[in-house]
Amino acid sequence: MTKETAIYCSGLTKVYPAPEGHLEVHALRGLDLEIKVGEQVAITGPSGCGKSSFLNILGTLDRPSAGQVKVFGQSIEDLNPKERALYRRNTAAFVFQQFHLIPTLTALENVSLPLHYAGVNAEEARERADKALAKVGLDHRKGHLPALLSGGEQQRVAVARALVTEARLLLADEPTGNLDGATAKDIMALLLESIGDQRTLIVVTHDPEIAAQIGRRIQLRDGLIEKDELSKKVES
Amino acid sequence: MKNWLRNLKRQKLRNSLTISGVALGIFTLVILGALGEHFRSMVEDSRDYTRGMIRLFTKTNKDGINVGITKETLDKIRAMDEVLLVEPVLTLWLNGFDLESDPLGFMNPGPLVQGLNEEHAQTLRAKVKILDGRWIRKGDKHHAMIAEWLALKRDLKVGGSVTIRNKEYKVIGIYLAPDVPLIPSGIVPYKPLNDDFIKPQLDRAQKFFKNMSKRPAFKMAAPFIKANKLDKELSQSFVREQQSLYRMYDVIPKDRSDAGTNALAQKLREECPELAVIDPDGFAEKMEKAVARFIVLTAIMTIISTVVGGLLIVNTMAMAVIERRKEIAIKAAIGATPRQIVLEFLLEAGAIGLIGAVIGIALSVLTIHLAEPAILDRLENGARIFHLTPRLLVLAASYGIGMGVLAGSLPASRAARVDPALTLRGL
Ligand SMILES: Nc1ncnc2c1ncn2[C@@H]1O[C@H](COP(=O)(O)OP(=O)(O)O)[C@@H](O)[C@H]1O
Ligand SMILES: [Mg+2]
Repeated sequence: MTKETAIYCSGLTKVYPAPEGHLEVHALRGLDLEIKVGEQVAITGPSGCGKSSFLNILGTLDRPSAGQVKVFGQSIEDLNPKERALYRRNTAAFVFQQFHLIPTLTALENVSLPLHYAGVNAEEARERADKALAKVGLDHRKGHLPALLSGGEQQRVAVARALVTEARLLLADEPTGNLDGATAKDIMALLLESIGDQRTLIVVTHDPEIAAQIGRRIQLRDGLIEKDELSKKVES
Repeated sequence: MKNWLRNLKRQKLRNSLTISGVALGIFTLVILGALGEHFRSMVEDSRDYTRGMIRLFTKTNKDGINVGITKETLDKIRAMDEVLLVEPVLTLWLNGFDLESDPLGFMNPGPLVQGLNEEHAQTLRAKVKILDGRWIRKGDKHHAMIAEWLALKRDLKVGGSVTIRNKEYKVIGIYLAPDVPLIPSGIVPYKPLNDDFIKPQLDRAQKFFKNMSKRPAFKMAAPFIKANKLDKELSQSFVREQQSLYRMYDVIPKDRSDAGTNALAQKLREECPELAVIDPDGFAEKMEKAVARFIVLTAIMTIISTVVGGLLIVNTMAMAVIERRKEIAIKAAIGATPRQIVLEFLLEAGAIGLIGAVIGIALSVLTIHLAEPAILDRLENGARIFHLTPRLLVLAASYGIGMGVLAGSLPASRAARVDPALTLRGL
């Protein structure tokens, strides 16, 4: 069965302008890439090779300097600020290394925030956030502020926040980078199990053990794809 | 989500200071505004009071003498078809004018008493509401109607007595009149008030001229003039001059509509150029002129005092935006549009403005309630200084919100320009 294309990049380039008296930084040097709907992809590579830059462009937090990016058939390089916000609301959701929860909001409120911005009414938002929190195993902590939660719990909240909307693309930038080994495993397991087979997942990681759990691994070096390999179990 | 409230609690001290600054500005606005509203209602009230009434004043001529209105002129006006009544009005300080006991009395005028003929007084019935007792009528002499505020202040009752210009009057009625300088605090029959005012002066003048005429020099200079007649004429003209400074004439037209009143006023101006003819519009205009300067001053002071609050809000919100850059970036990352982010900050700034306004309004209302009686006590005139109107309170609240939103708009627009990728990097 041939799956539809989730992400299509061609000649994707990102150049950061040079600070006074320095050279410009070429973070991505023309990526050509295709990812299918429902695929799970690990992006690996040394620090500074352009992994976050790539993810930020896919999530429209940043714009490419050149090249083409299509996500579910939609070109995203030229969206205006409002369209980008709507894209992040409806299409792409993030999980960050630093969790990035809002410190003044409870776990439940953090999870329902994307729905709040999407205009979902408070009651429905609450119900959906409740469900999402239950899915990540945190329904007993929903009234807590992030500061009262452990790192692993905070990341669970962040995963719930990313899954509470219908976003079809999940972008995780080193989601386990701030967690200890056991917790990291839990979070990865949670991510992989909770996204289902409709969502497309892209995980940036430099933990080979984590990358090994994921079907397709793309290795970057200096802004270019060095290796793009599929696990045997997925190939078969 | 009451997140704006939680955000306000995050920086309690800073936000409290800002709110206090706003409250202070709104406090000034309400206090000055209430004064302004009082003056504005004085303009309105005097317009109502003078409707259908023309007032004739005499002018001081080029020799510096105010000769008053001659009998011929009065007869001419009385004979006009459009004229219902022409009546003298004597307006005096109700307590007399005692610079010795109150050296600044000319700066802080006391209540006025007016002498009116009975029929004339009746024409005021529509404008002055009798609360207790009765109206002045024929045969009244030392009988007085007293404005309610004065009655309250001096504990006067119908049937009791009141001292007006060192004479005892019987209180026959208590009336509610708008608090306007134009409207007297006591109304008494014209004749006794005038007599009491004129008689002692006339007596003194006559005595003076009589003594003069007995001097040999005078007799030698004018041997043919009858001294007796001269005393009388001289003293009367001397006193009339005095009296004309305090006496004016009201002309009541038969047609008391605005058009009728204005038409008659115009005719009087043409036919009696030696008189100052003031019609209701003229009164209102004069009042407005007196009030306008105050209103402008008030507006300037209000703007100055609220600008401080506005700048505090700008500062507070700018700092909030800087402190919450990461939070803004997170919100952007989960799908908040720039507009939604701006709105959140505007809401917060507006809330600061509103809270400040509510506190400012509460403080000013409280202050007015506590201070007004004390001030009135000292002023010995008027029933009100501050007029708290609903529209003033609505204005103050909207001013607070508007100022907050306006002051918050610059920092808020900065919030929308936070670069999420850059901000979330490595945090
Ligand atoms: N906003 C920026 N301005 C300048 N240089 C940047 C910026 N963001 C990233 N870079 C540079 O681009 C390169 C790639 O960064 P990044 O994509 O974060 O790499 P990775 O996530 O793989 O560590 C790095 O050299 C980094 O210093
Ligand atoms: Mg990175």
